[in-house]
Amino acid sequence: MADTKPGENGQQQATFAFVDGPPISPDKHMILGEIAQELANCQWTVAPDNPGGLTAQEVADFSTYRKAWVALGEVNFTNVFNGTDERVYNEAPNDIPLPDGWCYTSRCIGELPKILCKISNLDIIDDSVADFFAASQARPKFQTMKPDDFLQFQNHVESMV
Amino acid sequence: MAANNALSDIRYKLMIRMLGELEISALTQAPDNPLELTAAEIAEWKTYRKKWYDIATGDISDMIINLTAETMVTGIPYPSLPDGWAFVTRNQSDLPPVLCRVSVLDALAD
Repeated sequence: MADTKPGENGQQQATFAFVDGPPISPDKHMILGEIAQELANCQWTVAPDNPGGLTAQEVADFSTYRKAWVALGEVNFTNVFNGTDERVYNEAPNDIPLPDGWCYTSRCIGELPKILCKISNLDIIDDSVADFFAASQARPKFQTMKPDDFLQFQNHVESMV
Repeated sequence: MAANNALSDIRYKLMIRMLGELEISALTQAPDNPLELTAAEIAEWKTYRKKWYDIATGDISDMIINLTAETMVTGIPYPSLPDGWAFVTRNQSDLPPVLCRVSVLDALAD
């Protein structure tokens, strides 16, 4: 049985949260959260009842895809840190390609949530997509700052108040 | 002719609804069968889930956007839940819906 001690609400809680500090770094926590969301997004592609009628090859491809995401969580990155840009999470190399014939899409660029579907399910032609994508690539990007840089920036802002 | 590169508004809404239905009913197909469904129930849920996928990816020519309709789309051929099952909340319009057997309902709301 795990060693426990009372928490603030009187319930028994694991002591490592108090004594040994967080068991994972904030960066790793963010990556694991991203992985969990990705696995949730495509869970139905490997569901036992196969509601999408995927071929055996597609199911195998998604199985490989999901394992690649899980493997991402086992890497101890030395140059990955939580950012302040619109990606919200981090700079982990998450450009794991989807199986052929599948895509994440939305009604328009920037809208949430993203939808996983077959490319063959796309049912309209939007002539503005290319222009919007080009514009999104052309505009200035927020740069992710290393933790030390972020603290310096934060101190700088606070000194201005 | 250029290939399609986007989802229409109706199909996007249907896709979101379909993904929600698959998520909320995923436990009916879980290998460990935590709700102890019978083989017949698992098969009925499999059919239910397949129908939602077919709705989201099928013909939408009879559907129209209606901002006051459920899912904001009118004309969805909603599949029936398997007998003995219900999506319930504490009261009308409450969220989130909970999937359960009708036999576990424990209050009478007049």
